[in-house]
Amino acid sequence: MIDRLQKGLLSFAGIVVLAIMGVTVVDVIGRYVLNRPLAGSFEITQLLLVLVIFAGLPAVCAAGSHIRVDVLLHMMSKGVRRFVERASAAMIVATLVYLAILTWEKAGEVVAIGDVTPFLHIPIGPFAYFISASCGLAAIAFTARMLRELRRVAVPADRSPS
Amino acid sequence: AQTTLRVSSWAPPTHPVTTEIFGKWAQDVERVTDGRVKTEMLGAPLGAPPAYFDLVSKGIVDVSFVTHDFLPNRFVLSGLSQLPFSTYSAEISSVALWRTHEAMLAEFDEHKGVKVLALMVHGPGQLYTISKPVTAIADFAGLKVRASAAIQTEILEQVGGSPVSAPPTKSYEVMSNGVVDGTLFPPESMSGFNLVPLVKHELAVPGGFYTTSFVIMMNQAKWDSLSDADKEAILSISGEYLSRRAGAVWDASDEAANAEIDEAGVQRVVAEGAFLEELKQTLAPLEDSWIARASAKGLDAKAALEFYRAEVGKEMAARNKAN
Amino acid sequence: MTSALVSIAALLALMAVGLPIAFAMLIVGFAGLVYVLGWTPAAALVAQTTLDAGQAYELSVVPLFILMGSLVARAGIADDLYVAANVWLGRFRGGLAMATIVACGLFSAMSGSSLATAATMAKVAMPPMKRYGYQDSIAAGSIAAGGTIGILIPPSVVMIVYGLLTETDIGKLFVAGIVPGLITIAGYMAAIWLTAVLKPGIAPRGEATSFLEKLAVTRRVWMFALLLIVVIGGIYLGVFTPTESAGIGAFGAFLLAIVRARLRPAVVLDILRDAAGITTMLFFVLIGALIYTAFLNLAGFSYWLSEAITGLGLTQLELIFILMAGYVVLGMFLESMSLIILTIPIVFPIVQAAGIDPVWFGIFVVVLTEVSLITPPVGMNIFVLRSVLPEVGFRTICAGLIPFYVADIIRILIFLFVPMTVMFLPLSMH
Ligand code: NA
Ligand code: NA
Repeated sequence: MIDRLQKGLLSFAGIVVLAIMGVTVVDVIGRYVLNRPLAGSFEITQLLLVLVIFAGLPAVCAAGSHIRVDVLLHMMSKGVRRFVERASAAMIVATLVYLAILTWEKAGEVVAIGDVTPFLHIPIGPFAYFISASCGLAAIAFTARMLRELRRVAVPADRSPS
Repeated sequence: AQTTLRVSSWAPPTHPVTTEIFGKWAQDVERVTDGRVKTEMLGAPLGAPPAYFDLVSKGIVDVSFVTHDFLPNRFVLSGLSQLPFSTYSAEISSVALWRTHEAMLAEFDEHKGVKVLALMVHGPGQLYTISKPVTAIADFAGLKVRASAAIQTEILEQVGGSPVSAPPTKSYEVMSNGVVDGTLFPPESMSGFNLVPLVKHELAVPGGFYTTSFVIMMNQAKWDSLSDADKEAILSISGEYLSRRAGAVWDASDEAANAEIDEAGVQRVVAEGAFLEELKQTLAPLEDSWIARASAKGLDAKAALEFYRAEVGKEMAARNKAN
Repeated sequence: MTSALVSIAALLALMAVGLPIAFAMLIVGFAGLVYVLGWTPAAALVAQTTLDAGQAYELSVVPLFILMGSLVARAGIADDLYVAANVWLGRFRGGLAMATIVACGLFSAMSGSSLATAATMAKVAMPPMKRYGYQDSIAAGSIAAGGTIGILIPPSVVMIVYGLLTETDIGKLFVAGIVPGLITIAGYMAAIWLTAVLKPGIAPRGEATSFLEKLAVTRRVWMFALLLIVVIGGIYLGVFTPTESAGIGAFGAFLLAIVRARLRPAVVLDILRDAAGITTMLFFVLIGALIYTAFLNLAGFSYWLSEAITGLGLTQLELIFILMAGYVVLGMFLESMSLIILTIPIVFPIVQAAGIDPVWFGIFVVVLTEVSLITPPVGMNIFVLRSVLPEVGFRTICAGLIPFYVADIIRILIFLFVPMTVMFLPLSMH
C-alpha cells in the first residue's frame, strides 16, 4: 500500500516537473511569438516546485536515497554498527514527525491569516498543508522501510545486498 | 540589566536601508539608553523578505522591516500610501503615513505581534524603458514591464501594459535579456540594481506611479520586556522621527540616482496636460478598489485617504515655506 | 564561538556515522537555534524555512536540467558522442581515453551533474576501452575525472546553488564556465597522452578511420549540436534567462527522446520520477543547510570569522591559497553539494570583503568541487564508478586518477594567475 502510494506520489512529482517545463516553454513562446508573456509564470513555477519537492519526499525517505557520507560506519563492528544505524533511523523519524507537526501549525496560521502570493493572489495555505502531510507520510514511509529491514536481518538465510 | 536587540536587514549590507536607517537607529538606541540597550546586527539575512514579519513576531530576530505588499492579504490598510500620484517625497509621505497610522489605522492592529517603530515609503516609482519611449497611453499596449508587487500589476493592467512577474533581484537578468521592455522602480532601485545603463527612457509622473510602504518593527514581547525609561528613550528616536529620517534616506538615494540617470543620458518625459489627465482617469479605479478593500475591514477608508492627503499637503506647504 | 565550534564537531560526527547530511544539518542546526533563541522561536524558524524552501525560484532550473540530462542520456546520445569523438581521436596513443574526455565534455553541456556524467559515460566508454586493452586504472580514471566536467561546463547544478547562495548572476556563471571547461578538456587529454607515452601498453592505439567515415559518424550528432547551441548560445546572447534555457533545453531533449529514440511513456515517466527524486534530495539538503547556517549567523559565527580573517590582513592571493587548502581538505571528506552549501555562506562574505570577483570565485569553487569528486576517501565520482563497474577496485581508480590530479594543479594555477581565462566570456556578455 505504502509502496504504491510513494510511487504514485513520485510519479505525480515527475509530472509536475513536466508542468514546470511546460510553463517555461509557454512563457517563452508567448513572449517571443505572441508578445504576450504568461502572467505570473514566476509564482506558478515556485508553487509547482513546492509540489515537486514535497511529493518526492516520502519516496526519497523510503528509498533511503538521501545524500550521506558514512566513512566511520564501515570501520565499526557489526553490533555497534547496528546500534548506530537504529539510533540514526530514530533521529530521522523523530525529525520528520516534528517537521510535520511544526509545518501543520504553521499551515493553520497561514490559512487563518489568509496569506496569498503577491502577484496572482494564490492562497498559500493548501501548499503549507501539503508540506506537512508530506513530512508525516515521509516519517511513515521511512519507518516502514526500517521495519522491513529489521525483518530481513532476522531471517539468516536472506542475503544482504553487498 | 542590559538587553541586546538582534537587528536584521534583508537588504544588502551596503544598502542605505541597512547602513543609514538601521545602522544609525542602532547607534541612536545605544546612545539614548546610555548603553543599557545594545544592538547586534546580523551578518546575513535569515530568510526570504516576506518571511520577515513572522521572523520578528516570533522572536527569531528582534528588529527588522518588511514590505507590506509582500503579504497583500495582511496589510490592506497600510496600502493607502501606495496609490498613484500621491508620493512627491518619501520623507513627506512617510511622515503622513505614520500620522495616518497613529490617528486611524493603528486601532485595526494589522501589525499584530509586533511593536510598530516606524513606517516608511520609498520615493516615487516611475517607468523606465529599454528602447521604447512611452509618451501616450497607447504606447503601453503590449509593453512588457517587470512587476513584483500587486500594485504594480494593477497599474500595468489598467493602462493596457503586460506585467511580467519577476522579483526585484531578477530585474537585471530580465532586462538585460530583453525578457521585458522596462520596469517600474524608484530611481534608487534603478541605480542599486545596476539598471541605469540598460534603459534609454523614463516616463516620470508627478507624485509617481506608485510607492511601496514598509513597516519598521520590534518583537512585541521584547518591547514589553524593556523598562519604561528605555521604552521612552527608544520612542524618542523612533515613531515620526524615524519615519521622517527613513524617508529622507530614501529621498537622498533618489537624488543621487537621478543624477546618475541624467548623466547616463536617459530621456525623461514628464507626463503633463491631456496625457496626465488621461492617466489619472485610467488609474482612478485603483483608488476605488483600495477603498472597497479597506472599508471591508471596517475602516472609514475615504476619510483615511483624505487625512493622509491632507498631511501630505501640510508637509508640502511647510517645506515650500521653508524654501 | 564555542557553540559554533561544538556544532561543527557534532555535525561532522553525525555525518561520519551515516546520518544523511540533510538530517545532520537540520538536527544540529535546530539544537543550536534552541541554544541561541529558545525553543519556540527556533521551532518557528524551522517551520518558516521549510515552508519557504520551495520559493527559491532559481532552483526550479535544477529539475529541468536534470531532466534534460537524463532524457539525452536515455536517448542514446552518449553513445553517439563517444563514437563520434572516437573516430577522430581513437588512433592516437590513449585515444580512446581522450575520446572519453571529449565525450564527457560534450555530454556536460547537456547535464548539470558530474555524477550523472560519470555514470552515463562509464556505461558507454568502459567496454570499448577494455576491448582495446586499456588498463582498468587509466580507463576508470579518465571516466571519473572526465565526469567532473559535468559541473564546470554549463549547465551546472553546483553553479546554480552557488548563484543562489551568493546572489551572483547564474547566466554569467554559466558563461564563465565555458573556457575553463575547454582548458580542462585539453589538460586532461594532455595528461592521458603523456601517460600513454610514458607507459606504453596501458593505453594502446585504436583503429584508424577514413575521413568519410568520420564525417558520417559525426553527422549523427547534429540534433545534439543544435540543442547545445540553443541552450548555451541562448544564455550567452541573452535570448533566455538560465531558467528559460533549462525549460527550452528540457523540451528540446524531450522532443529528441521521443522522435529519435522513441522512448515509451513508461520510460519517460521513469526519467521524470528520477528528476523529481534528485530535486527532492537536493532541496532537503538545502533546507538543512539553511537552518544550520541560520544558527551560525545568529550565534555570530559568520561575523566573527569574517572579522578574524579580515584582521589577519592577508593579501588576496594568500587568502585564496588558504581557502584552496581548506576546500581540498574538506573536499576529501564531504560530498560536493554539502561542501558548497556548508562553506559558501561562511566563506563568501570574506571573499567579498577582500574584493574578489564573485563570478571568478564561483568558477574557482566549482573547480575545487570537481577535485573533491575524485579525491579519496569520499570521492563521489569514484563511488559512482564503483557502483557502475563493481569489478574495478577503489585503489585502482585512485591510481588511475594521479595524472589528472597533476592536470588539476596546473589548471588551477592557470585560472588563478590568468583570471581572464575565466572572466573573458562573461565580461563580453552585455
Ligand atoms: Na554541465
Ligand atoms: Na573527495
